[in-house]
Amino acid sequence: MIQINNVTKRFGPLTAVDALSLSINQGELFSCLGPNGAGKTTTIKMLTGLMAPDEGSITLNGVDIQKEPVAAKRLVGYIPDVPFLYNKLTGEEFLTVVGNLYEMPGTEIQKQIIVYREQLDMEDWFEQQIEGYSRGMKQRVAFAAAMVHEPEILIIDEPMVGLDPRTGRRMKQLMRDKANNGTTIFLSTHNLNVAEELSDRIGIINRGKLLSLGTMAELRQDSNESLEELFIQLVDESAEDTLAKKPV
Amino acid sequence: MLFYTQFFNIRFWSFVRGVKTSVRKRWLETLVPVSIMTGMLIGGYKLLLWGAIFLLKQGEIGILLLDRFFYLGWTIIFYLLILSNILTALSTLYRSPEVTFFMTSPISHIQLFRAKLFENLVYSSWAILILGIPLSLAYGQVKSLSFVKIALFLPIGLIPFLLIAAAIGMCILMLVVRLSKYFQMRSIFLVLVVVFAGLFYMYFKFSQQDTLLVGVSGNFRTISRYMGNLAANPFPYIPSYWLSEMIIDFGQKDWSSFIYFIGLMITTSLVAYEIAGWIAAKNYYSSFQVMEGMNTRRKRLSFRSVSNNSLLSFLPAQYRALVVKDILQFVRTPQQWIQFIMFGFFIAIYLINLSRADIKIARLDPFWQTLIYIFNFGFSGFTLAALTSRFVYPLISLEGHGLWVMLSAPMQLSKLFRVKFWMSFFIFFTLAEVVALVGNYYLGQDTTMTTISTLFLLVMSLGLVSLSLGLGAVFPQFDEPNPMRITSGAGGIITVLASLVYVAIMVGAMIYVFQLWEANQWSSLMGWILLGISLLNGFVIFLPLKWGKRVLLKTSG
Repeated sequence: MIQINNVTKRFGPLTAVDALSLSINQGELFSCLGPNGAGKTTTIKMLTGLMAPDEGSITLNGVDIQKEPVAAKRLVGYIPDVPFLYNKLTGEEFLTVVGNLYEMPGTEIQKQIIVYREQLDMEDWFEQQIEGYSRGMKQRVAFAAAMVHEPEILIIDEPMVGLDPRTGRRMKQLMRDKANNGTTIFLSTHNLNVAEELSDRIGIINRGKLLSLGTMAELRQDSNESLEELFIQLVDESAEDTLAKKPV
Repeated sequence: MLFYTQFFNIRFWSFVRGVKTSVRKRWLETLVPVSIMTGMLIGGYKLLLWGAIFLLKQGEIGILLLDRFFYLGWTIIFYLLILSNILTALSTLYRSPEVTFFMTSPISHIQLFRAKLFENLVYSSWAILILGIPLSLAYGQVKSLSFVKIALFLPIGLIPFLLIAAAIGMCILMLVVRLSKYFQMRSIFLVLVVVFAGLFYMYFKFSQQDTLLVGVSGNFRTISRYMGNLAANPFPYIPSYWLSEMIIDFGQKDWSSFIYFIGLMITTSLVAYEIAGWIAAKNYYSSFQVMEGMNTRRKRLSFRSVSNNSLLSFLPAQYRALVVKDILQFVRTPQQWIQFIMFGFFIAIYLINLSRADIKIARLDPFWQTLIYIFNFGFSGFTLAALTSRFVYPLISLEGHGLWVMLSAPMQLSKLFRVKFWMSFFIFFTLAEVVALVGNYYLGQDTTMTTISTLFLLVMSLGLVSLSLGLGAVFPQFDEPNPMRITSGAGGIITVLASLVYVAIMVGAMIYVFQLWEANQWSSLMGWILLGISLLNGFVIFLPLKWGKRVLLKTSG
């Protein structure tokens, strides 16, 4: 479970995240939508402990990320939009390194490697050095690395970048399966189709504020608008509100 | 423990595989820097040995001077190591995707800091040791210490010496980053540079290092008194003193003193390591979090404000856009401006030294006059070479994968080169000229000498900027965002070496021209020298740029 309690993050005069409160239940796949600069990445950085909130707190399965960062990170698998991989290692070696960082037993690491090698269709090139991989292959290794230790929480930033449609479908299925098996997933994306197709709940944020939160049906209410239309409408309204509040 | 094993295993295998790939696919590119390094070590050793033997031939004063220079050499290396560690740690501790990766893993930040401390030590020390190792070998040679003996004991002293510098440098950086939550990082570094300059000045003032230049006045009795005084009062509280004392004691077989200094060095390094760990426990994670938000929170110098500056308004739009882009990139890359300030700091120290030395060329023997001409002009030339190799060479690589914007824009590639060339020339020629003119002023040199050196510097600036810019395009590293790492690559080393050889030829030619001018010996030889210089500069100014443009078009096409 992810608990975000009244979190604020300021960068000088700019409030990137403004008193954000959110609770994501165990086994829930939550998608965070928002235009560029809405505060999604800042929120993810605070969730992963890369940034400290100025106010408020974040707990991951009851562990405060600021107070007990190592314990909290042990629960998380993180896939950044531009993942870091060691170019001179092979895919298999990289997963072994990650498994060791999470202090997994060697046999368990090998077992997981076999699982993800097959699930992510990496058999042919898993023993090659990463420097020779395409963008999509690297993204698949990053996925496997985030999941190799079977995390209780997955935080994913733009999961579909560089993936071909076939692998994209496979990834979507994998994320859904993970959530169904009890993994809590926080997904940040611009891809509205992915959000609509996969999410249990969707949150739309802009200028650091949560504009709307709910299941797809709750967001639509009684209208027949698509997620795209809803998204644009909400973001435009929020921009107009901000302009109206600005002193002349 | 498992983390450290993993961390260093990755480095080891990445290194081994990198070397294997290089040897297999780019053996020439591997062979050249290795040969150059070897050449620099051997050349440095031979040069320092020649200097040491020359000093020993001067009798008692020479022996004292030799010890002082040895001590001074390691002191300079120690300060350079601290600065180098600060700069390198910006990448190794903070601005690296690997650190972000580890910070999202369940790794204690203290463990990460300790691993990064050793990585930082290696990255920031190897280049500086190219000076330190030949210095110790040459000194050991004249003190009857064999290579084997030096090789056996030097690491015992050297490793803790490097560790102390690394710990100091990284602690300073952590505190600077922590403070940058409240103040602009640029302001903190400026204050730090001022404090550093002040300490350096005080050190020179109290230990009277600067008056070493009195030696050139030829008053050996004064020097003798001075050296006697100096030998009795060295500054004993810095590791460079302990290291040089260790080597001196080893040569003199003064074992009790040797053990004392080696013990002092090792215990200090262990204390420094522990203190750094303690500071990291309190500051590293929080300072990392501060640094993560740094890109977002600063109110920056905007493109528009620089572009609208009246100083640039005369430039056509395309040129102005390229100039402004380069200025902003420079200002927003801490590794760039910090090191630029450091260069300024060392130049200032040199000029302060000259201003205090009270040397008047006219009062000196011709031998000393020539020596000072060589030194001052050489200093300006080598400063220029260092500046261009460090700041101009990475300019093309720093375009990164954004180069496609330039290549697809409705302008010729030569415009990009032209902007970078003239901008660099203007900045670095001005700097070198200031050093030369201020130096000439303090040395009381006449107008003829000043004019000749100005002309030579003008030509050298053109040549060195072209060399660095051109070779930077021949050996681009578009995947590397860190300018320091770009400079320390194979192409960077080739550029440094080519620049140094070029400066050495020009300095030699200038001395010869000046001597012929002084002696009124205009001969056909003089004509040949001038022709040779013109040809050399023709090649150096035009060829690298042409080559660079061609290679860049070929690789990007």
